[in-house]
Amino acid sequence: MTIIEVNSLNKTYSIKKGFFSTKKRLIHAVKGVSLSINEGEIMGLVGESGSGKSTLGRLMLGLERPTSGEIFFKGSYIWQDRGKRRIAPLIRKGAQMIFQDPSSSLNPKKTVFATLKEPIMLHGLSDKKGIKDKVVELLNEVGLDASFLHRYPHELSGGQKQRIGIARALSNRPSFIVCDEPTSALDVSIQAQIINLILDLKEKYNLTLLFISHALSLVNFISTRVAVMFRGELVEIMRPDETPSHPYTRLLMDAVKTRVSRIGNCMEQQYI
Amino acid sequence: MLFRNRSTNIALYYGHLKNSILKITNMRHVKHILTHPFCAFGLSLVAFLAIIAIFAPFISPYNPNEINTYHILEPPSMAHLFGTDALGRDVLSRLIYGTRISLLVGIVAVGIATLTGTILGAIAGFYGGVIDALIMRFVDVMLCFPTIFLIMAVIAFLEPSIWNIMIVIGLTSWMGVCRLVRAEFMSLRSRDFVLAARVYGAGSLRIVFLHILPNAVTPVLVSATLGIGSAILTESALSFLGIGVQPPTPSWGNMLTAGKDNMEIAWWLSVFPGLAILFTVLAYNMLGEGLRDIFDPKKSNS
Repeated sequence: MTIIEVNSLNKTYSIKKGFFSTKKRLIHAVKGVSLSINEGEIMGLVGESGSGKSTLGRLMLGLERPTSGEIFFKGSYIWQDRGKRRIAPLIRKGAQMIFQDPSSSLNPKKTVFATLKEPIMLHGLSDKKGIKDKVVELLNEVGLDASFLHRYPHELSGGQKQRIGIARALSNRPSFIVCDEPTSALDVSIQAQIINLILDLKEKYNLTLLFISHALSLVNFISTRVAVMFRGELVEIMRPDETPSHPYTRLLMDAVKTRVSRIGNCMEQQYI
Repeated sequence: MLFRNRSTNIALYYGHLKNSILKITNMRHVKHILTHPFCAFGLSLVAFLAIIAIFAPFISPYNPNEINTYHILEPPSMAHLFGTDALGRDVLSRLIYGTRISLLVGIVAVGIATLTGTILGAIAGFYGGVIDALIMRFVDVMLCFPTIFLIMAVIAFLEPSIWNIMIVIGLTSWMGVCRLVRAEFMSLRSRDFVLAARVYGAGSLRIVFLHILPNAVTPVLVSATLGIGSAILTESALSFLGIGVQPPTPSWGNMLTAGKDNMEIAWWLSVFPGLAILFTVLAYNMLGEGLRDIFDPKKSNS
């Protein structure tokens, strides 16, 4: 079953050239991307900086309005009307996101409890009495305990913050999660733990993941299919064991390979 | 096992208690406020003035409006510590009652200004684009008016009551707060936690007031404290010009006006209200500057 499907999606940003100029420069962040992700899949999404990976992820969650093209979540449009102003409640309930920088993805003025409580209450998944148990359950799910309930983000380590971010992503029981480089801001020793946690939770809750990353070897290791983006275009979708057919993918692979062989195998094990 | 459970429960309970107290008072900052010299001075003076204003009827030795023609223009003495004015009224009592007016004007006017500025600034900063441009041009227009003349013009149409003055001062001094809040919102709205809230379906109102605003409170607090000083000063100036608080209600500004007629023979009529205004404004400015020092993230004092 297809969880999310994207048809010839375009997103352009316009930038004014000068203060008085009326000319606008168009930047194509995403150009004609078509992609569908099946239930239970981990779709890796790689590409260099500025290739439109994150924009594609955000478009899929309805955080930005596409310039043209269609996005279906579980078979229905995520933008309810033609004017593209209203977002379907279905995707707000059924999709979530894990962010790159754990320290900016948590509200510094909210305790862990307040952060995790809000999505549960908003979607009516618990009443006031049971909310504490629900939050503690979520914390246990990501390997933390009840002592974290009343802490503020500045009292947590980077890895703990990212665990809270993952707990928040699970809080409204989504079926689809966009992971936007969830490990690249973390310490190398923590990266593997967080990846394993995400994979465990994926198995447990039968999640579908879009895994955006720079790290090609990591994406190859965990995903069922890998999509490669280059300058806003989707150049290739392949299985991780296939040999790439597009020259850009080959270039990307070669770059990683030479680096890995230079640094040595030990770094590869830590998903560099 | 049971024992261990109980101790964890107790530890949890105390952790919760400690955190809720910390949340209310934010102890880290309280300690800084009390040890920072500017802040401590300003805060104690402000507290002193507040006590005087609240307990005015119990503190003041005479009725502030009681005319005593036997004791006009008496210099400071044990009976009248700050002397008496041209109608024989006790200057100290009038000063004490004037504190009420000053603090009331300061707090209510700044309250109105902060509320207006925060709401408009939040809308401008959060939505951006055309709405932002409109609100900011409106701010520019408001800033172009010479405030004191605008207030004078408005007061000339309305009757000069204290409530009108507070509203007018409030509605002519919100622009600074508006710009401040807008700048904070513009930098905060693109942070990931706002995006995260939108992903799980929080509406714009919820995001503005429950997610972004708590992070923008500190600069607003500082600017409000500084604003109280200038609101008090504006009220005094208006009362001095005779369009503010009307006699016989005592206010520091109209006491100055009354004093200027007898400046040469009765210095105490002008000096004491003047000093009261000076120290009050100084107290609020020092408190504001101190708070700015403490909350400024660029200064490392934690």
